[in-house]
Amino acid sequence: MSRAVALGVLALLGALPSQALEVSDAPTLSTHSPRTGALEFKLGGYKPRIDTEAGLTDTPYANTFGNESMLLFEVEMQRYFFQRFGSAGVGFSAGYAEKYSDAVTETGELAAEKTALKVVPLKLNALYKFDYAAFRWGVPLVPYGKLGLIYMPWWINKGDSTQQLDDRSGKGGRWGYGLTLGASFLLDVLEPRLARDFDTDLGVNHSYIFAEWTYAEVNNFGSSGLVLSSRHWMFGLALDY
Amino acid sequence: MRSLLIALALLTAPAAWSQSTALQLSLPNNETELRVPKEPCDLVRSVTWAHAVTFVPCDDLRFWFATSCGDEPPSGSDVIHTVPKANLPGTPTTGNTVTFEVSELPLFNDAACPAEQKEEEYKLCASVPVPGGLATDCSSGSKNFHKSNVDVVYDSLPPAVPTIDNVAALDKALSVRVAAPEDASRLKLQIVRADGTGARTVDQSVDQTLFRVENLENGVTYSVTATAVDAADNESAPSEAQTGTPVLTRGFFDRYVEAGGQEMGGCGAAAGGLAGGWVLAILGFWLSSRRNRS
Repeated sequence: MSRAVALGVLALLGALPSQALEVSDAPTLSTHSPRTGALEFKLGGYKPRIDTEAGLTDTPYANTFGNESMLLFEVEMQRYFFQRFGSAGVGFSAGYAEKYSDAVTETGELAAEKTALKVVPLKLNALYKFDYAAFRWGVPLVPYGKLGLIYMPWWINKGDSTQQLDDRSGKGGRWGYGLTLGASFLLDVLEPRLARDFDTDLGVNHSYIFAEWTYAEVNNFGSSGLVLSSRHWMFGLALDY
Repeated sequence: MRSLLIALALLTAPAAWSQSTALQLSLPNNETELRVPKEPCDLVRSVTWAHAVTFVPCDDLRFWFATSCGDEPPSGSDVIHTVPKANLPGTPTTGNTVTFEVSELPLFNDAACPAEQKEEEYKLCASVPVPGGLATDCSSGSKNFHKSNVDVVYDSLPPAVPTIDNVAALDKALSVRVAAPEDASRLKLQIVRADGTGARTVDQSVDQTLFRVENLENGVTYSVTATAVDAADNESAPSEAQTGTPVLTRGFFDRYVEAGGQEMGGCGAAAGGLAGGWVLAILGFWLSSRRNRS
């Protein structure tokens, strides 16, 4: 069954280039606006690997939040510096995720107040997109990769205030790095005329939906403390401008 | 005939509009009515008046209380304030005030102030006669009136008693949800230890019916009562008392530290320096490779 589905998907993807080639039959005079960067909106499940910290005798994240992911929303601005064989540039992204659960009493019963972990991932990435095949041959898939620095402010609330335990502050920031691999699907092939209008009216050259997987090590480069590393998928919409 | 009627309506409409908006009484914060408390009886309240157009006053500008406003004060009614004709500028003017004491309300013409359990509505009326029709002076005898009014309510009726729906125990705090009566504008919460010591009062707008009372002692039982206060500062009787005992709770950070977590908080400056160093090293390497190539 799964093989049949895979064959079906392959057939569909194989058919798309021919449709895209029809798009390229348009007059040779280019009406595209200049393409300088991209804007991405993405959503996904982020589960920090807090419980993997060396020396922990229990699993506080799983015990508190049920080992569930946080819903992460990110916006990324990209700027291309190279657009010949694919596109290369830099990107800056900012996001927000939070997870709430009930606090507990000393006897382990659920308390009437909540506790929460909140994070704001900030990323500076170098990126490369292999969009040569999409623009030259009409293949609507664009694989890409990003490598960069991550700084992640975090804070932990109980009730309506940030927790403070003796000399420990329940807020801070962790540094790290991340690698992201993904693939975008060029939506222009589905509605070429609408895509052209989008470019003419708003300067959006191309639009994509994408899925990407991130390997992030956010643990202050191996020092002790909160491990906000993760391996997670994100899905979203990208607009070239 | 129909054209004549339309023309007449068009000609008279601006005049009517001018009369209704020329003189304006207004309250602070654009309130629609002025609620007057039960006491003190010599409490002075004020209303702002303005005149928006150039006009010729034919007589004094007068202010009086009534249940409905006419062109002039009814005979026998008390005029609470008069601006003599000679003092009216005749040109647009703003920011003037008329003041009155609570005891000047018509309710106290034949009753003593304060009055218990009363909610009486009046209008504060203002009117000044001006030349009528197309006349430009008052000698023709034809008069129109520039007039305005605001609602004034003497309210000595306390609001209904609020009820405490829920008292939840928090860490060194209590969360108290109060159901407010309709005519309340504020809610007051009285908190006192079960032994009668350490009484405190928390006061907040009726828009926020959930109170969070901080800085309490875990393990100590507190008694909580609520009262409602209306716009005229009348306070209701206290609600039935409820009790709550703050308890120590553990959040995610407590659990993390108990499990042996090493995080101390802070912005990770050392790692930031390391990251910055890496970025500078990569940048330097890239620049030097470009220079070598050229």
